[in-house]
Amino acid sequence: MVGKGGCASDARGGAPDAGPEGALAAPRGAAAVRRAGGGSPDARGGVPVSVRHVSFRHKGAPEGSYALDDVCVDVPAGQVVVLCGRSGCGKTTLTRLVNGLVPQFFEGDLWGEVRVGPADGTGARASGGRAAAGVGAAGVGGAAWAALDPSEEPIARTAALVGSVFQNPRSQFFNVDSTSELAFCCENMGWDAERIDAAVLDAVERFGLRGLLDRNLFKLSGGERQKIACASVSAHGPRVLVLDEPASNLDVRSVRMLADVIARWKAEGRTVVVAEHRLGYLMDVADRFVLLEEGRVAWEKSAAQLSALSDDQLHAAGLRSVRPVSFAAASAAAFAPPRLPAPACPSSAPARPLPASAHGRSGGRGLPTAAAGEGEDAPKAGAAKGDATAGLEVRSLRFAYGRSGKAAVDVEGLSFPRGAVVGVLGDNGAGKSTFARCVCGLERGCEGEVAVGGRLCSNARRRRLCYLVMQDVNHQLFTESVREEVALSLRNRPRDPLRGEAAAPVVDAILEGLDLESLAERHPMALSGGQKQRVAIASAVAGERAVCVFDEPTSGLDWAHMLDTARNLRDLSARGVTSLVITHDPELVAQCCDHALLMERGRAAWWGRLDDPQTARRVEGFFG
Amino acid sequence: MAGASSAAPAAAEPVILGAREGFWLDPRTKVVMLVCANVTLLASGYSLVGFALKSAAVAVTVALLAQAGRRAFAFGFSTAFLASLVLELLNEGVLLEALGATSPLAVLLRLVTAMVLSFLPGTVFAYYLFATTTVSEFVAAFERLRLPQKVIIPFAVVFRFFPTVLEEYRSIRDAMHLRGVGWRCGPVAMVEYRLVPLIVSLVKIGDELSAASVARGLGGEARRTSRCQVGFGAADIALAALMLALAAFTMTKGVLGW
Repeated sequence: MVGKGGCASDARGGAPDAGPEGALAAPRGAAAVRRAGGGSPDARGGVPVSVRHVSFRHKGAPEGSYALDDVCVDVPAGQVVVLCGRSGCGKTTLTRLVNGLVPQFFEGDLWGEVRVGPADGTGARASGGRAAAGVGAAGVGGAAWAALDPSEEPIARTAALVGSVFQNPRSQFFNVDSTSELAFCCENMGWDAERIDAAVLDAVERFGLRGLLDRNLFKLSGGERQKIACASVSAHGPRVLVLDEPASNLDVRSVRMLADVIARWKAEGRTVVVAEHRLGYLMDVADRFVLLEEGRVAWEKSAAQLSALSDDQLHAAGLRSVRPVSFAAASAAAFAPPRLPAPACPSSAPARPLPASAHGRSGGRGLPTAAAGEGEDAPKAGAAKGDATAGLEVRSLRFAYGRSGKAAVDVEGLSFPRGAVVGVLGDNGAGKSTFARCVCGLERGCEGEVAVGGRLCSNARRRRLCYLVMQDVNHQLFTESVREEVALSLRNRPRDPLRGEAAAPVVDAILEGLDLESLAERHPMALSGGQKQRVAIASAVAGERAVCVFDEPTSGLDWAHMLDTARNLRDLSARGVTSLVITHDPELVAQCCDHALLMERGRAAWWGRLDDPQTARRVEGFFG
Repeated sequence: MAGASSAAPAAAEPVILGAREGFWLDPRTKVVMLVCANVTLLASGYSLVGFALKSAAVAVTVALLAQAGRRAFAFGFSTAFLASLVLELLNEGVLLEALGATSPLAVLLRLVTAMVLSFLPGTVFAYYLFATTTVSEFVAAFERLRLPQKVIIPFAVVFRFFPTVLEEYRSIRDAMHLRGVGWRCGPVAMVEYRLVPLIVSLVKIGDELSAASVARGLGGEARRTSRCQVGFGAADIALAALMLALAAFTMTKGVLGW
């Protein structure tokens, strides 16, 4: 594949400045031999991965826009290497390069050289022969086993050597039941039934999956699905594992589980390549971190070197923190007294998003202060009905699925002021989403007393006063332009709905306030994830919602995009909207939340203001 | 099954994979039965013989559902079918006289009963097929017939497609509730608002799913194997023969014009 497209790497610039010279010299052959598990059916032991001077341009991308730009990365056998960087920096493309999806599934022009396996064909003879034989006559005669070029090898054959785990637990399983899913890769390799059963049983034991056998995957939590995905992909004993943002949708506990899985792979001597935003869980297990910037390798660091960087340096590179976030410091300094009530009327509310330059700066605790300041600046015009300072009050809320009688949600005595931003924490399956759906009035069987703005509201009324910004925002954008999206909410709002001409100035004001005027005529589905989220917020503002619930708004977002979301939340707060934010993201909580609530088994375990040292300590304890 | 043994705390106790107990039908049998059931239901007409044929096909479906542990569903379905049957018979004899042949109520009644008698049972059998067959079994069974993967895989994906659509559809429905988008926006807008986000997210999921499947070795040149044991037993032969007989009788009846 060298010279594909006619212009070799000389046309694309010379060797990168930050070339990983040290990595090149690593004893890759020796490692492979040392780890080779004696050629048993599930022989363990990794092989090296080498990416040399690779450039890639997606099909249809304009001239000069490269997803990867002369990238050199070498992963010695048995190492864990983490690819990090901003969204769109090319780290996902690099993982796809290793499993062959780029350029065979995601097409485009490729320059340079990719190799999985030892470059000279020595070293992995004993173990590699078996793997190749497993694919069925891979053209190596079962004896000498050469490195493989995933860009040209059929993807299915690469799959015998390279296992892949993807970001979205919803869309990476092929079967509906968990046991078949565990056998899926082995079946594709053409193994016989006994060998498959042995491999599946082995995976079940190694990953502790006894309780998850023969289950409907659609009824498992995201964390459980991701665990099945990891076990499934390692059942056939691939030498290399590539993971593309595997922790994006996982809760704190599941992330620890994932870290254990990766540590296990490392102990088995497999090579692991992870593209990831959340770096904290990888600090103990990763050998090296590679920062990509606009398709280029910016630097490579060890875990020790990475943890020596200050938060500001990390954020400047677009990275999340690698240390536990401290909430005690945040609570002491940053949070102002309860925010003054601001009217929910969008046309008069202040809308002053922080300038974009705030992103790289990352003053950590500095930003919430700014938000609180905004709240104080808010004009006091327009008196809200009922108690002006009351936001959301959950006197009691009970909901059970089906006739089981066991309450999925049973919450009492919560009260949050108007404009509060409440971080709703808890493990997957703790009832956070169900609680959110109950608050929004979406669960019809839900009983209890919930007051919004000081007035008790029925389920039906809450559906009009509350809004849920879903994790998959695509589900809630219906119309053909951003402007129409806002207009739809104005037409449907409970109090004095606006139509046609009368609505136009209000729509403009809302769009301007949320920095959307330049996108007004665009189709919502054609926007980026963050912009879509902002459109959803705009429709909530237009509908004069008093309570907004966000379901994991920052999963899979880099530092700058997370700050965008935090800014949106603070804007809403300044408009007097009370927000509940379901999140596993400690940095988002530190950036914009002033209250925290922990859900456990459907109940509110504790809740309080984040400027209360005890709450801050509890939040820190939760995030570990 | 394995679920039971996995609950046992003793680590020494072996996990048994795919130990099949009791009644089990090969996916191929189920597909043949589905086709036969639909032929019988759609082609048997609305004579007394036709009703008898339909009832026989429905009886088999209900028995299978009950056997699969879906007793409440089987009961509800058979009640609906019997009620429609009675209504249809009354319609012929009594109601048509009373209401008048062209009255809207009679036409509506006719429409509903025809749906329940001819279309619903086929749908219910398809539900049985999807609910009791794993993707893996389905693929294994049809690979025995030497069908190419290109033909089998798209059908197999349908198994996964239904629950996915349901999951996506539910959250879109929620989103519409929250936006106050209802039928008063007009039926066209209603359908558009539902379908556009649904199609967008299904396309996205479809893309991710195919990338993930390919990267995990689907579609390779190795002949795919399976740990599922598929094959025909006495129950397969008996039930397939019964349904084939019903379908054959229906066809003969149609050709000879009984």
